[in-house]
Amino acid sequence: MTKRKLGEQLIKTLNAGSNNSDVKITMPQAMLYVGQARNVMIKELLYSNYANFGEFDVPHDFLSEFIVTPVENEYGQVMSSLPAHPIGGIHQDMGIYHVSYPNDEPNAFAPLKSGWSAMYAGMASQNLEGRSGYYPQGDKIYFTEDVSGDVLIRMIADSADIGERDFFPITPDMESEVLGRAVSIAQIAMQTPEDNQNDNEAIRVG
Amino acid sequence: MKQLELDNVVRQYLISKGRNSLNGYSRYLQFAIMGLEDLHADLSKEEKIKKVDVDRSTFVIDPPEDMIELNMIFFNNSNGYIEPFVRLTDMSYTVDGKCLTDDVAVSPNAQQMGFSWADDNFRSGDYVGRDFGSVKGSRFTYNINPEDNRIQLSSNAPRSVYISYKGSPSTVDGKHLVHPYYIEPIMFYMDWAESRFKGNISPAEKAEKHRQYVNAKHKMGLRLGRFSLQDAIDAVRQTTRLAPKI
Repeated sequence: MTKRKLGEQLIKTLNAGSNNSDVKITMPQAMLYVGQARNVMIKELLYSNYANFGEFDVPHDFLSEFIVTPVENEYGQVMSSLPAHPIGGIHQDMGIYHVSYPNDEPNAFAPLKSGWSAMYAGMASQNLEGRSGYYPQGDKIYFTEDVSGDVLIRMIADSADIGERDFFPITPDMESEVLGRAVSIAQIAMQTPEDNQNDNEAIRVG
Repeated sequence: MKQLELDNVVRQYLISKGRNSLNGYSRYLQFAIMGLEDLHADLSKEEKIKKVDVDRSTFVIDPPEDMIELNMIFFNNSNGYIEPFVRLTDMSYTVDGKCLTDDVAVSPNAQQMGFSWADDNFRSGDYVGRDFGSVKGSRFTYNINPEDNRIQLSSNAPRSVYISYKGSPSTVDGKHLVHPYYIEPIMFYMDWAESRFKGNISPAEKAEKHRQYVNAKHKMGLRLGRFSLQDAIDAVRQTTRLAPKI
């Protein structure tokens, strides 16, 4: 399944089965709504699993895979731009799920927080038992100094960063629910009356 | 002897919590090290020995950085026996430039190092002081200056001595290694450490987690101190070491 296919399905659903130019929702809008619905649903599902099973983990269906090549910036920090924005605000920052060298997955990098270097300075855990480490910061990802070469990143990427014809990471059984949620979002947009007069004034509702 | 990396214990804990990624690793690793240190302090029989060169101008040595508790300072004498140093608690040292026990002249070098180092003191021709920490017969003495974290040896100390001590848990190539018996108590410690300062966990639950840790620690102590049949035989042998009467 791709984001575009779900977008087409959303337009057909809202347009009584046909996909023509009469529909009020455009394809970019449809894909945006589908993506937003997926983002919310993933977060809800993770916390629902946590509540039901007492365990917090990310199903593989939600993960996207990227390769980045870190460089050293002018301050000597080893860093790279994040290839996609991870879903944030989830337990233990699991939006970024796995980081390692592509050919050495068992020696995964230890996930850190941006305040890590100050908090753990001088502590026995500071050397991470020999592991490399990383911490995301905004749209960048920083690595411990020993990292060089290509790095594999698996993350729950924001739907907006997933190509419209790329694999859309959701479980097959979620497709209908994602579509249902996207319809709800789209209907709010469709209920808003169109302003067809070019008079530089917004339409007054009610 | 089989030893596991502490990293292995942290991952076992994460797996037990239903995780398949390292998220939270650094925090859990810190908990694991805290647990290891707690168990090590109470139950470890590990004794570290380090050779230290003695500064001949001050007779001061720096304790090993990982020393938690001093066991013994000694050297091998010419007869091949261990010659221990005895702690002389009234061996004086200086704090803020003043001698703690006596108003005596101190050697500039020794004072600089935080200890007073006095020669014999005479007043009107009478001996009124003493050689702090110095020779009394063949005794070798030391005292600890806690403020400056230094150890003062008597002036008859040889050029190098050995310090036997209980230290922080050892690392090999920057990795902590643990005996397999440590795994379970460390995991229970981590579980307790994770919850003990959280406001949304009831005191009863925290107490239960602490109890589980203490039980696991007790079990580990029993395993490590298990009294085997061989131990019993050895104990009997030690008490019947008599020369045969003929």
